[in-house]
Amino acid sequence: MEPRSLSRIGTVWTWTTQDFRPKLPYRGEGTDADFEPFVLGYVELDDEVRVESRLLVDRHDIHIGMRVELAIVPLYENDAGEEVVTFAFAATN
Amino acid sequence: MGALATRRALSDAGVQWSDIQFAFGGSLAPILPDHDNAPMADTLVNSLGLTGVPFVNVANGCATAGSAVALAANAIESGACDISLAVGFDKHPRGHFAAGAGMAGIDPWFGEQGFMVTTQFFAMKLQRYMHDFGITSEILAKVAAKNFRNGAMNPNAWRRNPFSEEEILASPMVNEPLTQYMFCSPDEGAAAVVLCRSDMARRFTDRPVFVRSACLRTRRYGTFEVYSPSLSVNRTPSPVVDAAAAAFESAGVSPGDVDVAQLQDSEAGAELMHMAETGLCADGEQEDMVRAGETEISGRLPINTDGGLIANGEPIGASGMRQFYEITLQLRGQAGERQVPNSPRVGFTQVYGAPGVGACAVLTT
Repeated sequence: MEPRSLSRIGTVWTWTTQDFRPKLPYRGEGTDADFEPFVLGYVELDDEVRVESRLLVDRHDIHIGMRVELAIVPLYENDAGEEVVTFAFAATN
Repeated sequence: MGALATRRALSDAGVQWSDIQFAFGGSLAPILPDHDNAPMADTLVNSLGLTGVPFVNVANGCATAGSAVALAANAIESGACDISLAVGFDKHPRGHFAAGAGMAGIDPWFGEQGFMVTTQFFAMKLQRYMHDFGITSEILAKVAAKNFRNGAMNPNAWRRNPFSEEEILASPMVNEPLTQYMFCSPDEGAAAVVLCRSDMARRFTDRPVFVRSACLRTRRYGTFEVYSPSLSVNRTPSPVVDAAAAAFESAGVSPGDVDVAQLQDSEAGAELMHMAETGLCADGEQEDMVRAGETEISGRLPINTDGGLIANGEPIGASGMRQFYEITLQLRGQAGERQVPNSPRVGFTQVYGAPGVGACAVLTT
């Protein structure tokens, strides 16, 4: 196996919303009470692979075939006080 | 509850626990987090009797019970025994199944960002299916309403209150397009099946039900499974497609011969997709079939006559075993209020589980 760079731009292949706070091992910020629902899905990159990712798109705008672009977002602060980030995709301009 | 189900199955079969020569017990709780040291299935022998019977613990995701029955049937077919038992039971805490990413062979980041949630997978598989084959949310509500209605006629069901389609659509959104009452819920339950060599069956009953096939398949490259960080762009058929094809071929029965079926309805859309994956209909035919009432108890192809997972919940080890119990009642004509008319002769069962397992069986009179 060897590392391979994938496209930063892709299209939404499928999607859903996460409307309740997942149980552990989820480490996102907040509690059940202030959980902010998020959108997630699979993004198809250059006909090479479909990657599961958070989608930084409003649930009313998201649709299959939508063009999206890589973004890096904070996920949680680890025990050493460092910010842990993750990948996501946002709508292209 | 596992011991109770086993005793009832033994009594129905007219045999003693000491007559069981091979046993397979399905329970997933011991390997799931937040299950408070749940016992392994084989601890049942403490209640049933220490006969020395070979007893194998089975944990195969939500296909655990289907796998246990396939193994119990194989034990007879191989000549290892004449009478075998498959039992399944589980008790789960409220809410979605929690699982660490490591259990699925994935690094921790996947769970940390909230992707170890099975309901997301059901919703995303369904969202794509609805897009490709024109299924509507209204049909999802009709499927859930049917299963609640059937469950209301099942004294063993967990949710026995029928819900209207409007109530189902108006219940809180869980994962779009699926609302709370379109989903099954983890709960508690148990079921057991006693199997014997087919040439011995009439010694025990004048109405035997024959397991014509019980087949199990795992995923091939390119399938779309629960807990997948990435997918191939070249999608291949689900393991349910392979397991169903093998079950029909081995039984010498075609999907068109099925009189009653129990399918894995983890949510309403799963029932629809599994109808096509098992060959009971073509992709996209479900909308018209459901609107015409064909999957109702009175319809051409009754599905989930006992209320399915939606009304019975999902105690994982028991869930697929419940399907065998219901098909047996239906083929014997003992299903009471929910009996399929005109003496059904061919029954079918199907389960699907993480991380990509399908198990299907054909039963006949």
